[in-house]
Amino acid sequence: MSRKPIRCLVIQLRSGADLLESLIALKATKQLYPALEISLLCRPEHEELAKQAQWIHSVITLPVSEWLNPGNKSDVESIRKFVPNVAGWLTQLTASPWDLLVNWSFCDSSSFLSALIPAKNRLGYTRRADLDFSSGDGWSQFVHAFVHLDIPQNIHLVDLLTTQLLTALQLSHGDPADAGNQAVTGRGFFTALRTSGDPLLEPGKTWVAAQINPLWSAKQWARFLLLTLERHPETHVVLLGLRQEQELAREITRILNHSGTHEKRILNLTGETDLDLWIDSLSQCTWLVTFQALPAQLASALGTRVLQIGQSHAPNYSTAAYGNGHVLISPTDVSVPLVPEAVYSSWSYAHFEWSHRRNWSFQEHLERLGYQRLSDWLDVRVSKIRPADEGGGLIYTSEFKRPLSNRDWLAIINGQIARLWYCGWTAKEGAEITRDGIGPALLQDLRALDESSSVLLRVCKEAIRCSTELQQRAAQLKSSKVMSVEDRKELHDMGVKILELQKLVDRLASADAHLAGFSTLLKVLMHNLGGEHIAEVSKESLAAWQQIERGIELMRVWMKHTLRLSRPIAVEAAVFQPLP
Amino acid sequence: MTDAQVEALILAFLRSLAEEESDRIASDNSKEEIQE
Repeated sequence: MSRKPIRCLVIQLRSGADLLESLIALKATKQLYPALEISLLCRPEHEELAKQAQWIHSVITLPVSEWLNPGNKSDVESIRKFVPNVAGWLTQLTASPWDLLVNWSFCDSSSFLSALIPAKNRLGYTRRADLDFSSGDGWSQFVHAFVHLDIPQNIHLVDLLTTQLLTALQLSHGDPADAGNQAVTGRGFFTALRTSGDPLLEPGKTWVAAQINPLWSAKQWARFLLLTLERHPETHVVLLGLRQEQELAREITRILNHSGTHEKRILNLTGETDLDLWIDSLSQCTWLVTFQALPAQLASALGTRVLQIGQSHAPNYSTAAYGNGHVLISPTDVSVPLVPEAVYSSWSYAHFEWSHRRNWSFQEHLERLGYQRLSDWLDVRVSKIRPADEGGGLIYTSEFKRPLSNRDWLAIINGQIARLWYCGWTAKEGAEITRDGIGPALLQDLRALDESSSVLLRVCKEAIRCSTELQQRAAQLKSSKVMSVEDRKELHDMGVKILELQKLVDRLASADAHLAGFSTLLKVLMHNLGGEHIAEVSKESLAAWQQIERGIELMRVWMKHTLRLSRPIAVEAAVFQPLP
Repeated sequence: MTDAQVEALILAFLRSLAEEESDRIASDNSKEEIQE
């Protein structure tokens, strides 16, 4: 492997939580490729956070407010006058080509920016010379077709970004170094942590950070904290929050102090914490309880366990806290929000796992606490990084033994299909699907899928036949521009037939949501077809249809496996007692 | 890339950035409304 620095520019212009996910993926990659010299382009408000990661070579900010007049944003003429300013700012990025340019912003503006910066290799959204949108690499196409359209898939975004970057580096710079079992997240993530002076939080205690916000009332926060403080004398609580939450924090502490002698076990840092203190305090806590993605990702980067309270009945697990042992709870019905008792029971089950060792289930834990009625309104999922021989990657699994929802089943299958497409690896057939996870609603949908996917497979095979014919016919032409009228008509008819088959895929996907990912990805692949000549374009078109075909075939394998699992099992004869 | 292509890319970049900023501000405002 080369020891020469690999100059890599990463563009991340989205939210702070997105920036943290990118940083976790970059740290994991840098451990395997120490020669990676990462420059990060981010929004000005995230500069301080990005600079906390001292293993980042340089942080560059996009001076958005200098270029855009807030009162007159869409006026073309007022925008045009800033073109020289942007050109001047760009010179720092265009002096010499980057070895690798990674655009993880996945947004329109960043695609233009990426096209303006010279690079030997490029990942993520960019633009062609004619300004047409382009996402050239497989994982970016998957993000475009699945992740951004909310088509269920269970690959965590950090794993997706890491795999995308590692694959590109492996192809261009050879195999990675052996990083052993070095942890990616933990106190060392941000090397600027305070190491001298008295610790902010008293050592030897179990500190639980509550990042308060008005999604719960002061009474609700106080109820959760009281349950924690009264039942677990070793726990202490630190309240974190923005300045506008100070009144809420005062009300919470007033209720807690009124309820007992907890004053010495509560530290209120609401509104007083700058980023350094957030990092310092979070890194000393055992848990963070929060509704929000940014603090959740910050805590997970620092190796602090996270209990994230979701508000949707189908939260996005692929952007939840990254690492082992995080908890994501959500309501089963959005009209019935989560109550403090639900959060307390989820936290206490996860926190004392070392003690009960899962000898009793979460359902039984609810019963012991007298909260069994909560189980109908609550979903609790815990994160786990799979072993390497199971494909690695983070997964959130439910604490309840409930039938898989259709969305969950599809997320598992689409995750496996992505691995097949972009890693060339699939899990053992049916992994993560068990007999007790199959309910009647899923079975009904899968029986319908059997028929619709079989039709889709036939459409795909026909498109592959047409594309092969088109490619062979185009290869026989002496010129792709000068040809006989008969040849032109023949090629035109073949092209029209392939387009009709693509429309048929759209219609099938509209009728069966399981197939939506194939339809959207086919559009993305067709949009990104490259090549100057008809023979090259038809070759790429053929490859696109073959990719879709491989995906459908894998989906059908897992569908049939799931249907087989649901069949009654023949009971062995030896079990029967003979009649007297 | 020609100077004209660079200018076209920068202009397109600024226009889409302006749209995204406008959407971002609108979404932040609606979040505040929800919280209030």
